[in-house]
Amino acid sequence: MKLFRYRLSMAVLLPGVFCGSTWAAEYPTEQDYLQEFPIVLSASRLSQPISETPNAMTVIDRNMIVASGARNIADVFKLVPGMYVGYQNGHTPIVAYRGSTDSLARRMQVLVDGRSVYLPVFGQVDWVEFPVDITDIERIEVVRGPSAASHGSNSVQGVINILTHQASGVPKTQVSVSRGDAGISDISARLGSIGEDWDYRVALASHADNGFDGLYRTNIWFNNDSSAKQLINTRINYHPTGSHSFNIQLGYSDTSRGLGDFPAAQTGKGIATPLRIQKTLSDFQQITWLHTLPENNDVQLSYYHIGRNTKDDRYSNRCITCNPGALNVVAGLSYPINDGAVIHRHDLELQHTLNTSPDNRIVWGIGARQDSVNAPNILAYSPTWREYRLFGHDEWRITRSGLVNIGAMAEKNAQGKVRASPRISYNHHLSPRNTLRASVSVAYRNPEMIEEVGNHGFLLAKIGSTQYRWRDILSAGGLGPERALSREVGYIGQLDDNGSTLDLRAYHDQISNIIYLDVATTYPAADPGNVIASSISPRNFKSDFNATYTGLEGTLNYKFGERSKLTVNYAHQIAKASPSRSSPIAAFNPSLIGAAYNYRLTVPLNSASLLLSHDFSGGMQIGVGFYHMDPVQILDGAALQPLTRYLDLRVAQRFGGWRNKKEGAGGGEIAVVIQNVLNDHYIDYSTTIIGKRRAYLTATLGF
Amino acid sequence: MFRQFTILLLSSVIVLLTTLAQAETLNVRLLMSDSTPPYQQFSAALNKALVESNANVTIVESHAGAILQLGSNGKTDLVVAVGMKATELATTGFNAPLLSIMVPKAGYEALLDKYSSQKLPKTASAIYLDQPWGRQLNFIQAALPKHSIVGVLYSSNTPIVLPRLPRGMSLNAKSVRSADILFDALENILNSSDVLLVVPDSEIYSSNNVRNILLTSYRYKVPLIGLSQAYVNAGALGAIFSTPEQLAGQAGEMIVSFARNRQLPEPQYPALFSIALNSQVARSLGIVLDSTEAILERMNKAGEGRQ
Repeated sequence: MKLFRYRLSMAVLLPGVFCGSTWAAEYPTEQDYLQEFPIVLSASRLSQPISETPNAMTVIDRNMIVASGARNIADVFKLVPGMYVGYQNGHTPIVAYRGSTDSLARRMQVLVDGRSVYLPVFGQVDWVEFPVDITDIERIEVVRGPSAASHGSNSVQGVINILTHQASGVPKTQVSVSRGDAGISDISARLGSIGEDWDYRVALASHADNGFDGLYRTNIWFNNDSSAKQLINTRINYHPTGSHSFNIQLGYSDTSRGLGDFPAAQTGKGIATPLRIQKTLSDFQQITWLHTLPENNDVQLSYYHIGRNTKDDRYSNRCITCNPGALNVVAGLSYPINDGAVIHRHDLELQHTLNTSPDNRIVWGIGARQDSVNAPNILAYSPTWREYRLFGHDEWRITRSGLVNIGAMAEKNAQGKVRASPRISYNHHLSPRNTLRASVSVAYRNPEMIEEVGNHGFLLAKIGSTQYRWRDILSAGGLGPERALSREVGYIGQLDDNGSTLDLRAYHDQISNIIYLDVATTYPAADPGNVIASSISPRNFKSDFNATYTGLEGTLNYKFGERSKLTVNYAHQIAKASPSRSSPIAAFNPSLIGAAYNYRLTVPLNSASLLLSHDFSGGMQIGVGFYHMDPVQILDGAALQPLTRYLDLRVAQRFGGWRNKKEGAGGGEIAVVIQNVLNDHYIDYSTTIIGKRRAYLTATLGF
Repeated sequence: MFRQFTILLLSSVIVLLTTLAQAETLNVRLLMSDSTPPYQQFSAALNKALVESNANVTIVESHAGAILQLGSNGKTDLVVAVGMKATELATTGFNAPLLSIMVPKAGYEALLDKYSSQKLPKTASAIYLDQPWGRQLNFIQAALPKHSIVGVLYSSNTPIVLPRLPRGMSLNAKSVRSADILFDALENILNSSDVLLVVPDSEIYSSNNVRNILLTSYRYKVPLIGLSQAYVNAGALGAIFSTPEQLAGQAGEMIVSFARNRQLPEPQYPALFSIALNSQVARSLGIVLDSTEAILERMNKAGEGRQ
């Protein structure tokens, strides 16, 4: 299991090697030079350098995550140029590249170690509940721009690829405790081991906080958005022979979240939002078999299952003075609401990576996915959707300085439609340090279940023969996919020998058939015998307009020697939208006109972030993050989100063995993070909550 | 180009062998530690070199496993032992002069120490399998001119003599006391080094560990310089090593010289060597590598004589 047992096993193994002799090494032998190894860094393990990727890419490594002081995974994405990060409430962050039409950002593919966590019903990512602790994240790669050819549908605006530590990545024991403002109370423990055939790591964590403070509104005094989560996550690598490796990952989390207002708004939407605790149980199982073949080719077969069970049972608030009149029929009564959803996703994929020549590498594969959902009060029925995909990508060095990436994915979606998403890019190395890139790609986003078969509401009283129903979403269905055509040119430069880099990009994206939530009253025919009754009209998803995004982005990573690093991101974005020609009601639908008009406000004109980290001698570390975003209006946001600017600060002192960056036994760290240092009244997506300055302290000990 | 370079040197050895051919037959006992491919390649290359040299040398080949037959096969003028196991058997089983090939310097010296109280062959010499430090550092400097901090990880009970470094390079060496802290020590070294240089140390670089060492160093974006082509195939950025054929050429030269004057030179490092590079790993690490020829030329220019 441990290193010095190897010596013993070497001695046991040697007779085989040495033709039956019992000779064992007492001193260095030629076997150190003659031993054979399997291919470890096989083609699929070798990532493309940023100067050779077909899309612009941002890499956030462990050191940056630590220096940013982020406690939630979502906050880390503020370090991606052009990425919107806002909070609907304390436990519901919104992460969207190039703004979002609503709080359910659903135009990015999000992968955690290859698992797509972009889940039905709504198609958004629940950043809080998935069973991965931020400490276990090794790096995050963000593809800025469509990447359906490599990452499948929904990679319309970008791909977030979260990579956790390898099974061999935590060969030590660590315990960490955090306490701070807003009820922050976190504790985590992790351990790992590296063995002859088996490596593993395990993490246990518990996180809790009280969310944000509420802004005083009439009759509403506090914001019920506290949350608590417990999780366990393990990763095991079994490598019985050099050419076979099995990666097994398991995770489970239990999340409780406060929802609802106190006292509840007793009109409008408020009747459905009493104070309550929503519970989510989440789990996943993943197994990947990697088989390395001669000539540095490999085959990878992976399967995963994600299960998610949300329980949100409650009784509606009594509606005393409801308006419009339909609800008055049932005034004074409470009705059961069950917004629960049980989700199962199964995904199977086979991928083959081969080097056909020193100048050509091909990846191709096939995959299938099944999503089944039972959410009787959210969807019209319990759908099981199956998607199939075939993909191929070729990286071809056509000359010493020119590289072509060409790829495509063909998909058959749940509606039975087959579509191809191609991409081609050319990277030209002007010199080893300076590269230009041009790329064109097409990507599709298939409609989500809520968009296609949404039927969200609950039953009210039955008076006489009339069953009254409260309903806020009723989808007509029949939507086509959103389609993105993206063109970009970029420059990637290495500035010095320390590894400082500059990455610039200009792009123009056209997205057609944008699916948005239409608040107009023109919904489809009511269910027979039912009366649709909601204080706001039930909303329907439509795809009646197109948008263009034009922008400029840049990232500077500057290293001042070994100890200091500065990252500066900037994005300038312009969005425009217009009703599509195919929409016959465009001219008459004020909701559509409004949506199209407001769409240009869904991206901030300018946004920037800055992260400075420095390691002082003696084990002191400092991290400073500064974030700026121009005003922005998410379509379903209550009001224009004002200009946001804030500063986060992290100061840490390492002791014992950790002084020299060694996170092993006999050392540790005390860190203080102050978020929102300059401002005690910070507002973003939700203008009814305020982010106050908050500080928390984390103590970590290694054994 | 490099192959031509090797062939050129090999043929010069053959010419030398031819001119030194002696009339009297030299009875050489070639004792192999094993019959696996590297030893067979050595044997075949040595036979070929001696045949082509027209030297009057008779070779009797046996494997270390067949120790009982050793003494019963007539006169032996010189034992050529290939590998540590063969060297140990030759040390104890023969009184004839001994030439050890394919042995690590540390292993060879430890073996001589071990048997120093016993009767050792009067004449003993070796061609080590290791590359001299100077040559390895020269290679790193020629291949990775920007990577000046060389990390070396070794177990505390491995005899290692650390080198003096050429100007512009610094050494970051750490000894590992126990298995539990191997990966801590590795991460520590990777945090503070530009390149990790593998040393022959089976406690650190066992075939099981190499997998995780390669994965970890790749994760840290620190290139690894290995000991053989196998390391490069597995994922090391590069390696500098001598092939059995290259060692056989040098051994042939020493055998022919011995036939003439019955003397062996001092133990020495390999005269010929190869370098191997993994261009895919280099690209993925964002390292621009020159061609093998250019790197060899730069090594030549830098003067290989820093050893």
